[in-house]
Amino acid sequence: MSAKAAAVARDRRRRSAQVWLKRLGLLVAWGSLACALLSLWRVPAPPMSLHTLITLAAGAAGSAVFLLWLAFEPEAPPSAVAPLRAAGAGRTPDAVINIMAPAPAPAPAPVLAPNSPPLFVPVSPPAPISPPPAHASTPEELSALPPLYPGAATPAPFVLPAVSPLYPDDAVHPAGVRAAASAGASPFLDDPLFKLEDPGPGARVFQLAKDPLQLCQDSFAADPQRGIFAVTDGVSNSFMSAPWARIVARAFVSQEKPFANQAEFTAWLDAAGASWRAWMHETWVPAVNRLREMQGLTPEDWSRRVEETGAQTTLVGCAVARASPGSEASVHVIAAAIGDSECLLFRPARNGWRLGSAFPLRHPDDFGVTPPTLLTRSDPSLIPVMYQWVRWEKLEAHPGDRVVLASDAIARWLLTQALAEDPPPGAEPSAGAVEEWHRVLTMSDPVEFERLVRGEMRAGRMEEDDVVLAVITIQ
Amino acid sequence: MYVQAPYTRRLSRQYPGLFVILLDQSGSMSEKVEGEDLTKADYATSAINELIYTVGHEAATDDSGRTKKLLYLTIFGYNDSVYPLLTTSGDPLDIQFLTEHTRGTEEVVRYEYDTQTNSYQAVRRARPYWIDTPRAEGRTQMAQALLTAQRVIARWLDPARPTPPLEPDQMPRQDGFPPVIVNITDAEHNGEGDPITVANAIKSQGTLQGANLIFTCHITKDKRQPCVFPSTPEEVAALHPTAAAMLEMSSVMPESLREKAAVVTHGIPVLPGARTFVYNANAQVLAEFLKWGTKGTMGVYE
Repeated sequence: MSAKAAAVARDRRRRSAQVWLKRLGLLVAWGSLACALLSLWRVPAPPMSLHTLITLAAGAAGSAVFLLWLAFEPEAPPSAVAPLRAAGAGRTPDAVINIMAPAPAPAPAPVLAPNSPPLFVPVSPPAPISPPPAHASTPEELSALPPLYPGAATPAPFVLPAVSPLYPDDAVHPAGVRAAASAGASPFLDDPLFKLEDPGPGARVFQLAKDPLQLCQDSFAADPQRGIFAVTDGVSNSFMSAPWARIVARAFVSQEKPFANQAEFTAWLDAAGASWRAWMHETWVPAVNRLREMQGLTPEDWSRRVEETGAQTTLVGCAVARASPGSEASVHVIAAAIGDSECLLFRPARNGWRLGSAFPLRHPDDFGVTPPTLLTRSDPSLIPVMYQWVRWEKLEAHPGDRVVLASDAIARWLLTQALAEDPPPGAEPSAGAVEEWHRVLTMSDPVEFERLVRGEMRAGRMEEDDVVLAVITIQ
Repeated sequence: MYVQAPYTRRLSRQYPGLFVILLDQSGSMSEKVEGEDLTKADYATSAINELIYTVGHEAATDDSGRTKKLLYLTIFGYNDSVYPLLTTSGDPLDIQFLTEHTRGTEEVVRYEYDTQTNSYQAVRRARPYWIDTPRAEGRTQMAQALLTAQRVIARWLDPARPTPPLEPDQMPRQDGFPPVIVNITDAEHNGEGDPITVANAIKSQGTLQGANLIFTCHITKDKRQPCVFPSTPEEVAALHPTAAAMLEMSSVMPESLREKAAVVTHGIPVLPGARTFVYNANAQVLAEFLKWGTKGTMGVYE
């Protein structure tokens, strides 16, 4: 017999003994009381005899003992059978939301206790509430529609009934909170981390945020003295990718030598990740929690999101150097890339420019939805995977060429335009090619750049996204 | 007349999207799913709660760590009548508000990949929920539900008095991605009106980005082969007489969503002209359909 079963048996014996004792006590008490009453009936007047007094005292004492025993009876022990589900642990039965598994998995057993309240408490037919506001009941759009019910002259007006709504309407959009939340642009727009350095003579950089009130998640860094440049593209639905993109770009251009093996790559990425975490803990978290307090929100503990969720970015970087000391005619461009940020080489052509090479993606169709990225998480198992994603390329450039580093949206647009105008051998040239792309290789006015990019996005030729473009002229 | 490239506007703070979810809560939803102890209503309710949770947590955050107001959401249940499940008026709520104001938490079972055993393991997770205990009673007033959705959309797009009102940095809603209606049902319409007529009226309106979209997901209690994104009535003719009507109610899939639809078809290419319609969806297909419909539109797969 198991210990649990023995305990249950002992408990059962103890409870049985308690029941019998209670019955015996009840018998004694009632017997004593009956004796006392009988004595009183048989002795009509005082002074009472000693026998009567003793009988009365015995009856009273027996009743008192019984009542005391009842009062001090220990509470019944909890049942050995615990409910399957703790009270309040869930309101609806468990359901399998199997998004990850490739094949349908077996359903779990329901965890509702047998005596749980019914799933559905019937609600009486909801009473209609006030009709919708006047402007919505007869909008011009609705009246312009074809009749909804052919044959019916006027459809019956439909009024929304009220059934236990979750959020009362006046609590949903308190005007003060809405104004405070929306009026605030990013508190980090002037943070020194995001001030881009001068790309140096012969190089230009354009950075354009899709949302002008927020940080641009695509970034750039340069060390013009050493001829090293980098463009990064923070993943928008990762956690705070804008500072990560900036830190990775700076880390790339400031490294002494390119990572030649996995150990050097690990050390480089660890250092960058530590910089991001330090900036988040020292700058971002205090500022954001202060802002939340000002907005009437509770400050949060962000450590889990910083340490576990983290940010992601793609990277493309290049080092430009003479092929040999004193050589003027040939320049080597060593490029490294992780993800879909691009390094493009354009050469002067008779009618403007033509695409010399594209790296790491060769064609607009190669841009996928989930490119490889660099993560802030310092998970040892991920490092080899990320290192496998690094691609290297050596390009041959000549004076007058343009090397372009670009984040995915504008890189894809450039590739599309350039290939449409100058198709690879065997392919038909596209009839709808436009020549706007030539201008971005030579322009220097950021206002003109913004006008062009926003126009292309509006026309649907360029994906709406943050944009960074660096154009380096080979001299 | 649509002057912009159709269906290319990604949801953003300036151009948020609107999703109207219509949840069939008629009597037939109380049927248990074959071989399991849960009803269709349980699955549908849990799928919507899971959807709000994942969209809220995987959507981009702003520089202050708050979920961006990329989309607004409203949910109506329908059986003998149509009733809002979030607000009294049925007005849409933004995803930031929903993420920060949950109704409570419940336990759900999820299958997560375990790197130790290299297999999927069932784990219990506490998840917030927004839609309460599922109901299942009465008829299926689908036309009335679509009419309600149409009214919400008309108020959302009303240039004079948009509801909810435009926030200071939001652009006119006519420039944004068109509103999307997601209709989750298990049965044919048996109430008043003609849902096809209402659906066609809804699809004849929209924004400068394109016509309003109607996604229809038919769920079943049987373990049948789902019919995912059919194109023509002939493809669904053998399924059920009502399948063709649901197909007609659904929109033709925009090109911008077509390549992402492989998430639901598990890699099988979706042909041009496919409708945003799934017949005989089980719980997994329903969850993937909802995920594709919202996150694909949001562009957050990137």
